[in-house]
Amino acid sequence: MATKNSFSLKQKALLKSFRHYRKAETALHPLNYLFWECTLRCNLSCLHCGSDCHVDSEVPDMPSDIFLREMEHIAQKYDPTKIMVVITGGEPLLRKDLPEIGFKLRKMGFKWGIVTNGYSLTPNIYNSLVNCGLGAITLSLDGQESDHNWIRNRQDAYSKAMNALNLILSTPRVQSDVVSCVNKRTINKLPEIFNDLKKRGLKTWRLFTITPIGRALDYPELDLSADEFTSLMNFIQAKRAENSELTVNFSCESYLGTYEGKVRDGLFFCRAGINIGSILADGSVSACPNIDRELIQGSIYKNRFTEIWENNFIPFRDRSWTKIGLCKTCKEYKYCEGSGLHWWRMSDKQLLKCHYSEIR
Amino acid sequence: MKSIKNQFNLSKKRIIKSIFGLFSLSTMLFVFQACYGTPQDFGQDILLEGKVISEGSENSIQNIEIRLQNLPQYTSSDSEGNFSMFCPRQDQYTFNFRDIDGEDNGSYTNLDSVIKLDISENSLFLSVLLKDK
Repeated sequence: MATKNSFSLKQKALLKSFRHYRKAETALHPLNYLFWECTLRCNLSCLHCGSDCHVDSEVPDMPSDIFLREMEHIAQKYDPTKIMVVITGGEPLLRKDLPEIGFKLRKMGFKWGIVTNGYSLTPNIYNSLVNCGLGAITLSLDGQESDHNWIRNRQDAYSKAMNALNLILSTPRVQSDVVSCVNKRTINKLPEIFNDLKKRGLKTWRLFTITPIGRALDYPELDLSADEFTSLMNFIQAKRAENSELTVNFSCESYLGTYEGKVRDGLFFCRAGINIGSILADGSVSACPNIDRELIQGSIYKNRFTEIWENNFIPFRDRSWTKIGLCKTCKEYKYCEGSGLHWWRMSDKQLLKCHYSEIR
Repeated sequence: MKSIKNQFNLSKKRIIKSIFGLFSLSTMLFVFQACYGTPQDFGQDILLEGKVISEGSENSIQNIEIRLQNLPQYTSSDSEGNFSMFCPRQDQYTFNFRDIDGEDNGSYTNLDSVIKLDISENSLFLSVLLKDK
């Protein structure tokens, strides 16, 4: 297993050359990935939720014609076939007009997908989404039945998610994965969950940790300790070395030192505001939806998305402001550049967690 | 002068990016996934559209179920006989057209039809004629 300071020559060479690519990509900042927070309503009330969603949100859903008009403009300015639109929430399936919106996006040339808890995914709804060009889907599943239902705060959440998983796996055309948020209750059960998902035919399983924002702030016991985080890295590394039919990935949420290149397909690169933008439920424009809202760069109700994308986003493309606190003296900063931006609380410019510093 | 310099710098960045894409790390560099996003889709689909018409009356037919053999997807014609669905790209499709609502909207014989696809096509429109029972 890797240790904190044992980089191989190959790893060092990769990390060093990757910096040049990252610099070039930052300068060009092509929009490749666009989130649309289509609603803040949700049918679950998860303990670890990082968004502000509620069963009945005070922020109304963005009307589809406003969103689609903006997308038409984006399609005129950029090549839509190179942009993946990811519809998120809240729970996107609560919008009844989702298939119709997806169909129009696909006809414009965009590829599109959804992130869902699967609770409302019936065979008919899934069929209509696929007919309308759904190309990718991510299902949230946070463990075995009792743990998933506990964290999802609903007793039938697991059975519904399993029904959704079976549906998803019946359509190989749709790129899919399962994401699981690892916490203290599930860290020691990962091998069993892996075996179950593999038996069901899943091909990609993505693991991530809980960001202490939103409702997750009220449940610090969800947070992994440094030892637990290191054991998560070791679990992923070992599973990837098995070359199993089920590939396990750690999400691209932070720099991992000597685990870089070993626990996920790519090297760490927080592309927020470089390749990734978002249109939030209230029309605000930002990078990933879970980034502190103080970093909002504009609103489609005031300016075109493309104008905001081209002229703003300075804090995302020049991250020198993150070289403070723990990052100020970190030798790995050149490869990390302040971790994933969703780890930053902007009111006091505080990095909420540094995974690299936690690795034992 | 400054603009020429900027252009030169941008071209340089593009070249660096291309070199990386061609010779190393190509999948890891370009096929990324946001932390909380979906995997990338590669857009390997095609739009199949059409209209179902009665051969006898030439009226459009509502509620004809359209299925594609070996695919789990299905749809049905709307009140104007139109249907559409994005499907995985294949060389050919076997369509099954079925009258699923009995005598409502008339009674029509079922039809199975094989359509070959030109590789350059991104969409396909079918005019479907069904015989009256």
